[in-house]
Amino acid sequence: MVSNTRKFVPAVVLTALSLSGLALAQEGGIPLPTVLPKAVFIGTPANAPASPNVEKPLGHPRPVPNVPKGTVNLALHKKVTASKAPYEGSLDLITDGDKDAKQGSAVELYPKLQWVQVDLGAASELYYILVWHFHEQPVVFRDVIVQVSNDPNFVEGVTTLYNNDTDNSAGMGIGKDREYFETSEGRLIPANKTKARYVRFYSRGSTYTDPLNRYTEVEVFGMPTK
Amino acid sequence: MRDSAQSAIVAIAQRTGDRSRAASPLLAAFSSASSSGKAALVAALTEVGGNQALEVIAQATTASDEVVRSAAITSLANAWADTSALPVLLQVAKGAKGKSDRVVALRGFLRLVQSDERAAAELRLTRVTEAMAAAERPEEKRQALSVLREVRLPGAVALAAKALDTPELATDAADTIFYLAAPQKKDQTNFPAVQGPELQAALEKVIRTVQDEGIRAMARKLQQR
Repeated sequence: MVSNTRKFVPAVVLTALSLSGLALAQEGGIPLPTVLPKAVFIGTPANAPASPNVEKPLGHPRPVPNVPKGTVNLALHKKVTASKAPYEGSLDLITDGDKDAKQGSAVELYPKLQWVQVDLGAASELYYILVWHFHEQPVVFRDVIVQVSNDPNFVEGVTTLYNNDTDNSAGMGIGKDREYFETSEGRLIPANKTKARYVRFYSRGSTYTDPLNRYTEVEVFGMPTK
Repeated sequence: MRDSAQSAIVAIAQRTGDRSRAASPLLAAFSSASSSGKAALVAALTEVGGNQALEVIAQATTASDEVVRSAAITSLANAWADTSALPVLLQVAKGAKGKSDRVVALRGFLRLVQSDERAAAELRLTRVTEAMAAAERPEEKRQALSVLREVRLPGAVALAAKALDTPELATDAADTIFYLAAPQKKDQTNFPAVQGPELQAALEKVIRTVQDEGIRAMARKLQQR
């Protein structure tokens, strides 16, 4: 009974994604133009720290959603700022196109709640965001919040696309999204065609052996402004 | 390029171990620097820290030059390391002309209050109360509620209960009250539940004002403890 349920749920998800993909394909859509980095571990260890809000891994590759033709990674080589200067590494690592889980490909930020922000250069219609914090090990990052805005200070016109802070400890409200294990697939976040210039990523450390925040790469898929 | 140069200056300055000495070349360059140069120096001075740096940055928070003013407020709010900047940030949060400046400063004030884990609970409560009073929008009051979660005093419960009057904050306020009403364990330290008439009044208010039946049920359950 349990195994039936586990098989059924992904099938529903797959069907929904396939249908939306079909609709986009009919409108001239294309698969999300990203290349996933190589996985350096398989599955999650038996003793992986978890909580009731941590999503179980899919157990199969994530379906690739379709996006409108002409969609590109708007974040590639764009300027990144942060709440505080990094502990180690450079912020440009976050948009340099290198997503591999290897030494030197992730920037390390200080502990507690920190953010990084990508300036896309112009307000664009956004479809999906992909973020890899650190996928050398199956760790869970805390208080992952992704917001977009046209205001670099994120005071006005802020749209929250993802929030898995279930207790408002980050101060941006109680989020309804799930925590997840970092993998080479990154976290795919729908941007729902929101038009925005700035994307801000919050996190508050992880289940890794130290309290640092890490970012390997972020990709922001949208239509370039003409 | 400026970022690399800035990092190098800060690294060299920090290696000396003496903040005043470390800040002096940056301070010397400040008065004659261009607008963008001052903005970069403010960011570097924030990382170096110390009284002299704070004094210059505090002055810059009221600069007529928007680039300099914004850099000063943003640097203090996002990156200043200790509570010595709290009075400046609160002043900006209350008195700056621009809404964005006030909001960024208040966020920074709350960030520092939250990070000052060694402060007495009474002092933290006073600071959060000040922040709540200065907050103009639910967004910043929500952030204040998150800081309030770690203030285990009846007064914190009462302050969270006040936020129930704002419909957008009801869920977060109730969550803060519930968190304080339960014992918590953090970093191997046990924190007792907050009890007393303030808690009972807060739970009663949750039942009276919050629409969500699940939240009201939780309040009733806690009332019966």
